[in-house]
Amino acid sequence: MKISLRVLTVAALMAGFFNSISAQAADAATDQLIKRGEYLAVAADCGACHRAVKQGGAPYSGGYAIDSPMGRIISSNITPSKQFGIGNYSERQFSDAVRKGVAADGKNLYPAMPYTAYHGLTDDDVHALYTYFMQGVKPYDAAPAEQTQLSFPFNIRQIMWGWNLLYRDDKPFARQDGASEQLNRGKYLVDVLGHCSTCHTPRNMMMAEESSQNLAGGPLGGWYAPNITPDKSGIGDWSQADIVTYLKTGHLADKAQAAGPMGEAVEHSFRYLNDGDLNAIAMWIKQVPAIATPVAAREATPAVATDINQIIVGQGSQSSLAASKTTDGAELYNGACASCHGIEGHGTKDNFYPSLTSNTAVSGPNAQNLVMTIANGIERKGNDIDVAMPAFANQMNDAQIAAVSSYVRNQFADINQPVTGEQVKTWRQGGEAPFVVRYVSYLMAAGVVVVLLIIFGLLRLRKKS
Amino acid sequence: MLSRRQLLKSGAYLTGFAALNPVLSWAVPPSQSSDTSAFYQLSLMLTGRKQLSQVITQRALHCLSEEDSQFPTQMQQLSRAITAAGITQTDELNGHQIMLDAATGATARKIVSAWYLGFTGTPVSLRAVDNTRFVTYTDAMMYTPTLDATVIPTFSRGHTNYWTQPPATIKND
Repeated sequence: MKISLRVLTVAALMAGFFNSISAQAADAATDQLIKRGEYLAVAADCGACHRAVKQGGAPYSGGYAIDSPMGRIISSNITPSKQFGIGNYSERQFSDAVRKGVAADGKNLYPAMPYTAYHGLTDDDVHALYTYFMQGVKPYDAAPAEQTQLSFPFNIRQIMWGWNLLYRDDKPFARQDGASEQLNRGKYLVDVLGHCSTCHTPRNMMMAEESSQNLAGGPLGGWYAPNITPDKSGIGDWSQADIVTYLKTGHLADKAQAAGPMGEAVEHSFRYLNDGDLNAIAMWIKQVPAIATPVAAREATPAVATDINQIIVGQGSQSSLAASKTTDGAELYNGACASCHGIEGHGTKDNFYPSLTSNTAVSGPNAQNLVMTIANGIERKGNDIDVAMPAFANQMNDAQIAAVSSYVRNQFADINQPVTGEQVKTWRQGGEAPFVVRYVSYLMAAGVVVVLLIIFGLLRLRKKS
Repeated sequence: MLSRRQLLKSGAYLTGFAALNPVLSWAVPPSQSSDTSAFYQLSLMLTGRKQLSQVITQRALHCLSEEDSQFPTQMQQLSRAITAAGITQTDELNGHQIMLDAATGATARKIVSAWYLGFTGTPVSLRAVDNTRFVTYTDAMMYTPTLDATVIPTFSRGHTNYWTQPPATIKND
C-alpha cells in the first residue's frame, strides 16, 4: 500500500511535470501564433480603420469614420469585448466576417471593409488572426460613440446581398503557376493582405473594382491613389529597391512622398513589414500588367521663373500685415511654402523637405493630391524620420489653395491647368460623387417603373386568360 | 453704367497715376532719365558687377530718394567726381579722396549699403518704426559669398533641428 502510494505520488508528480512541459509548449505555440497573427493584422492594416477616434485610444476599439461617397461608415470595435466587440465570435464567424463580409448577427458589412480582398486569406492565416484578436488584443468594453448611418437606400444592409452576388469572389487565393515562392508571397501580400487594389484600382458604376484596370489608380475621397502598374504613367521608372524604400519610409527622393491614406498605410502597416515581404511586394508590383493612364500635359516652353523681387515689395504698413486676402499664387507660395521647399522649389539638399520640381504630387494627372496635401498637411511616421507638414486649410481659403496649387504646378512642373476654388472645395469635401450616388434616385425610379410594368403585364395576361 | 467718356477719362487718370507713382512703376525698366542711368552705372562700378537687376535698381534709387530728397543731386555729384578722377574699378576708391570727402563718401556708402544689406536707412533696435526701407531680401549681396554652402537665412538648409549635429565636412571646412 505504502509503495503503491509512493509510486502513485511519483507518477502524479511526473504527470504534473510533463503536463506543465506540454502546457509550456502549448503556451509557446500559442504565443507564436499570436505573434504571427499580430504581424498579419499589421500587414492587413486592420488598425487603419478599426482605430479609436482619438490618437492613443485603445487599439482596435473602433469609432474612426471612413468617409465614403454614401456617407460616414464608422469602424466597429474588434477587440475581444464580449458585449461590444467580437468576443463571442467563433472562428467560423470571424472567418465569415473577414472573408465574406457577413457579421455574426447575419448583417452584411459594407465593402469599406475590404472583404473582397481578404476572401483570399488562407485558413492558417485566419486562424492566426483569430487567435491574435481573441488572446493578443485587450478587450475594450465600450461601443464607438457614433453609428454608421448612410442615406437611403444605402442604409439597407440587405442590398449588399445583391452586390455580393455580383462582385464578391469566393474563390480561394490562387497561386501563380510557375512563379517563384517569393513572387507568390508578393501576390498574396498585394492582392489579399495589403488589399492594395482597394484604393489603387478604379471602381465601376456600382463601386466595385474594375479588375481589367487592376492597380491603374483611382479617386479616393479627395485624394487620388495613383497608377502603380509598371507603365510610364505609373511607377515604371521605380526600381524594386525604390518601392521597398518608399513603403518603408514613406518617401523617395525626387519621386514621391506618401500623404493622406497612403501615409497612414506606411505609418501603421508597411514600415513594420520585414524586408523579405517588402521585396516580395515590390517584385510582384513590378510585374503586374502595365496599364497606361492619362498624364498631365506639359507646356512646350517652360514657365518663366517668377522674379521674387517683383512679389516681395516690403512689409508695408502695420495694418497690411494682418490682411492676407491675396490670391496671387506666387505671393502665397513665397509666404507659406518657400521657407522649406525653397524659392525655386528644389527643397533641401538632404531631401528632408522634398523637391517640388520632380515630384509626382505636383506633376500628377490632376492637382488633387497637391491640393489635399496643402489643405491637410502631412503627418507621417516612417522607418527613418517623422515627417510633418503643416495643414494650410485654416490659413488659406479654397481660392487661395487653388491659386498656390496652380502656381506650383505651372512653375515647377510646367503644367498649365489652373485649379479653381470650386475644385478645391469639392476635393476637400471628399471628391466627386460616384455614379451610383449621383443617380441613385433615377435608378430607384427606373426600378419602380420596371416593377410596375411587370405587374401591369401580369394583370393583362390574367385578363386575357 | 459706365459711359465711354467716363471709361476713357478714368483710364487716362490711371495711366498717369501708374507712370507717376514710383511704387507702381518699380517693375518698369529704367528710362533713360539721367538719374536712373547714373545710379545704374554707379551701382555697377561700386559693386563690381557687369549686370544688375532693373527692379532692384529702381527700388534702391526710389528708397534712397525717399529717405533724402537731396540724394539725386549728391549722386550726380559723386558720378561727376568719379568721372573726373577717371576711376573705373571699385578698388581704386580705397583711401581715395572721393571716399574721404564727407559728401561723396557717404553717398557711395549709401549705394553700396542698399545693394549689400537690401535696405536703406538706419534700423533702430526695439522700435517698430524707423526710416528703413525695403529693397530686396533674397538678392541682398551680403549672402552671395556663402551661397554655395549655405542658403539665405529663413530658408531651410536641412531637416528639422539639423543644427544640433555638426556638419560632416567640418574637418575640411
